[in-house]
Amino acid sequence: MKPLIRRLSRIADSSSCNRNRSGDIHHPTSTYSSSVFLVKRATVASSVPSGHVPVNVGEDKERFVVSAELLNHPVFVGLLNRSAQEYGYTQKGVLHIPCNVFVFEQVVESLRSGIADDTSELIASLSGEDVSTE
Amino acid sequence: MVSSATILRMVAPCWRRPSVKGDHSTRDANGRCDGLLWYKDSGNHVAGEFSMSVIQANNLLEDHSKLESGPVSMFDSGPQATFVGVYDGHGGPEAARFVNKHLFDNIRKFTSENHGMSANVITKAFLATEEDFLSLVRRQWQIKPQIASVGACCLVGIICSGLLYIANAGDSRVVLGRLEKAFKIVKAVQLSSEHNASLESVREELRSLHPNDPQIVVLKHKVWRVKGIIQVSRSIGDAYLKKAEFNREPLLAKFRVPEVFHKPILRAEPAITVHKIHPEDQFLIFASDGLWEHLSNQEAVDIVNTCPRNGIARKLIKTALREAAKKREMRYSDLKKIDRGVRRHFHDDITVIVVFLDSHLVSRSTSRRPLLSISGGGDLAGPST
Repeated sequence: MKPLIRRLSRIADSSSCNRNRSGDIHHPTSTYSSSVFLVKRATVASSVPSGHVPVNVGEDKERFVVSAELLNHPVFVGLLNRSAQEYGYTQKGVLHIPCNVFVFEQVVESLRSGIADDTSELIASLSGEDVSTE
Repeated sequence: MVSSATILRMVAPCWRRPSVKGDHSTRDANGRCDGLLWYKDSGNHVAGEFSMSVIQANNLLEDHSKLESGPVSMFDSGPQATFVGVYDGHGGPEAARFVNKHLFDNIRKFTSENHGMSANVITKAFLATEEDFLSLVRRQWQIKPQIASVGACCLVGIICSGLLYIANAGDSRVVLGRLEKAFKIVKAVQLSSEHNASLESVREELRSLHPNDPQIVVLKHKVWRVKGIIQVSRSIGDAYLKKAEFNREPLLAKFRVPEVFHKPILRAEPAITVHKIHPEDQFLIFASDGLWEHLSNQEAVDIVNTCPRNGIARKLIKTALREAAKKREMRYSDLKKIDRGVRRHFHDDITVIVVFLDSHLVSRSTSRRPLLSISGGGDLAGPST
């Protein structure tokens, strides 16, 4: 897991730099056609759909809901463990995932696309995204 | 969609149990598994009934526990006693497993040698178990240095000859439910003191024991920690904060202390109290800190007082899990879909042992009831060390 987590960190830093450099970068609004609903943004007020868990992502704590099954995936386990090592397990309220929002979305998209079982391919995919990021 | 791997992982602990016909009574006697939950809903000890349950959150269960009922000395004569042990491990399961295996035997040994139960007997048993575990660390240090960072909080209760002995090292907790006849309510009375640096009294104790070390307790991410590393100030194990020989390479950097220390930073010595059991004393709730993080003492006592005895330990755990799910703004039913390991980000391992005190049995210490020996967790607890 370490190589993957390290790469995620690097990409997160890279994305942050890019955001700082040109303020008008925005994440494309993504819509999911798949019937297996994995992630969607949620306002605080909205109720969490059955089978899902709310998480806060990144420094600005952007809120998502994630399927409970998806949380069991090694990629998420790695992210959560990194959070626990830094902040301990007694975070208040919703779980916090210390990962850049853009990277988080890419990870989830990769998992949804069915390359979840090949970690090396996931890493390659993230690397590709890194290159293509303005 | 639940993957078959998930199903296998969650159900596997129960499959390991032999499914021979006629094994039903044995299966019940040692408790049952339901996914990450183990429970022994009801049983009898010398002084009444009991109920036990364990929920696993960590990848490897770090909580271990034991209930023994029968003669407390090595000789079968002598007073009958009930022994309860709750051992909450950290850094790995080895210390809690070790204590679960050895502490009670040490208590029996010292009770026999000293011709009776006493606070001193319990202290000696704790310290002997600590020395034995540190010897194990020394033997395994070269091949498995991580074992130096494994420790366990240890809570013990012994009911013997109308007295209740409580011994605690760490932050597990035992709460008594006491009937207040005048008001017809059952009140929570905490019988154990906790050794967690979040308490000002514990920080003061540490500072007075280590007057030349301004870094003995450090606030880190809003949490007080001993040397900025660990929250509890007493445990069995944690060799890296007991002996300087275990606080050097190849121990991981995060456990290292910058200066060489010449006396233990953490202690294994238990805080012991002795209580005469009164007829108003209804029950005892022994639990690791994972329960008390979600339920107050009085909330737990109210549940035990108002719900059926059978399965009450399981009920307490489920109530705590509902609270944990609420805090993460999710459904309890969805919490149950989360695997062990990931589950730790929602709640800790939790062990609950409820011991009811039947007043006419408490005073008859010579009453003969079947011998009982049960460890919490069943197959969740993994192989014995």
